[in-house]
Amino acid sequence: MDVRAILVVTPPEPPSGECFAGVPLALADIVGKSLVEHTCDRLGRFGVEEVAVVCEKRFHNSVHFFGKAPAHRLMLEQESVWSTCQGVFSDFAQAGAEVVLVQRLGAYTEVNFDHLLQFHLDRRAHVSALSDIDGSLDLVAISASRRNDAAFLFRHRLTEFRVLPAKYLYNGFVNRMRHASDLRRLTCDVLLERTELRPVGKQIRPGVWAGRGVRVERGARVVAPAYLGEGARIRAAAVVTRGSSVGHHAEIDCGTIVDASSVLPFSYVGAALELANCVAGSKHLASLERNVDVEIADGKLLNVRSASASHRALQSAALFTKFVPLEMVRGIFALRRPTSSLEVPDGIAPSALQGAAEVERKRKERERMQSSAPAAFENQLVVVRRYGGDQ
Amino acid sequence: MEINKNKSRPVVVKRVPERLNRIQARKLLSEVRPFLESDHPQVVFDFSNVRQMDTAGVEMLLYCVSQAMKRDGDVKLASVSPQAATVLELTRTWRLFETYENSTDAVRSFSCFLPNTLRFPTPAAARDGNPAEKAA
Repeated sequence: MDVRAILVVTPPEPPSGECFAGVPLALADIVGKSLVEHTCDRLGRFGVEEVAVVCEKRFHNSVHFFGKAPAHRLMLEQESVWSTCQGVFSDFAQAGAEVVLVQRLGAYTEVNFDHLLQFHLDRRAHVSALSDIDGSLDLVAISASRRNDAAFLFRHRLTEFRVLPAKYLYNGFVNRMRHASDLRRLTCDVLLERTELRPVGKQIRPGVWAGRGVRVERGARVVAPAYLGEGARIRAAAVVTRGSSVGHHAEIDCGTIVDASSVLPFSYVGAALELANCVAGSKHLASLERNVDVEIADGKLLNVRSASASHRALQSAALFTKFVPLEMVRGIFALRRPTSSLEVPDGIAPSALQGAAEVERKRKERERMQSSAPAAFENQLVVVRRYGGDQ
Repeated sequence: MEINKNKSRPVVVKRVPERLNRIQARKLLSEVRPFLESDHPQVVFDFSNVRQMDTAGVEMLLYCVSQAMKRDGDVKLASVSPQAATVLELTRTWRLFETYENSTDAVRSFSCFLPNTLRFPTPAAARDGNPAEKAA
């Protein structure tokens, strides 16, 4: 049977979610591949002959940025992705397809496409729609001969049907991928082997997967389950733990703890930080506990690494050449002892000055006590207990 | 103390006493030290009996894991009692260790990944859905 598929990447308007840092979650990296790539692979395993991925053109950077281009046909559309879908559907029908699967990503499901197609054929339906107890999952199977039904469906963005569809109730694994927390949940589920998805890479230790060219420096700790993407770099004394995922070519600097978090590809996470329960990348940080998305402008905390390997090498070389003379200058000037200024800035409150004076007085007293040997008790102190029973 | 031999290297299982204070930590460390100084040490601490634990116990664990890491080994925890878990969470050392329901699973985890036996807290926000969505 000739079955083809159309995957549509068009998130709803910003308040509705399905985006992180302005990028659809369907294009975000989940243990080595984007959701689009994972879905293409699944469709391929079920014998779907051709998959067309229709994506809004404004996300073309993300397609390159977050993952490798899918092996199947990729179409980037400026105007309306749905009118393009209509054109693709007609092409598939003319090329001999019998059933076309259309999915908006969106939700990740592990539906058995064979069962769905069998259901569609048994019911002799024009359109079969997948849903679970919470509602539609934006996946339909359309008979290729029903072009008008398909056109109506595309015009209404898969929300309305020309004729009543056959409802295929699905009760398997679903992740609706609406928020960054769903991205984390899916990552955890993959690492704990609760889904069909498997991390892309090799299991270097039980529960720790790593892609090619991963560098874990001495003293860094990776606690299972964890995923390190291709070319990721974990610097000395960093810790990656509790189901964390570090995307490909991301860098975790010295002493930083990545705890139950996802770091997206090509991200740089600065030194001595603590990422706990969050999704970080593309200069954005989504805290799942506080439910906020923060833009981080300081490149020392969170930055974006170049996608070009030569550019990254040049950046590293430039940093190194800057570092050596800077340290030399610092070394020379460090010989001078810092002197405390007698002038107090206006902004300092008098209470703070009193506190500082108190600290200084105590320090001097301590120094005096240390210098006067042997130490003597003051007159008003009495030894009340000594050597257990003696009083 | 039990020594379980898997395919390649032995795994040492050490039962931690009920009160893990400075004295007990030193004693425990002296018992475990020979194994930690071997090549690729694999040690499991069974915390099922632990009812009291102080910073000396935490320091001992950190020392053990640092020594194990130096020699490309690992230290894992099993049957961690709520009392011990509370102290480990308080000192933020909990996440440095893989923790398992029992010592058998911890021993097996050195040779294969056992996702169902791992004591792995799923983040509340992720588990319960989006808080903003719930509030709405």
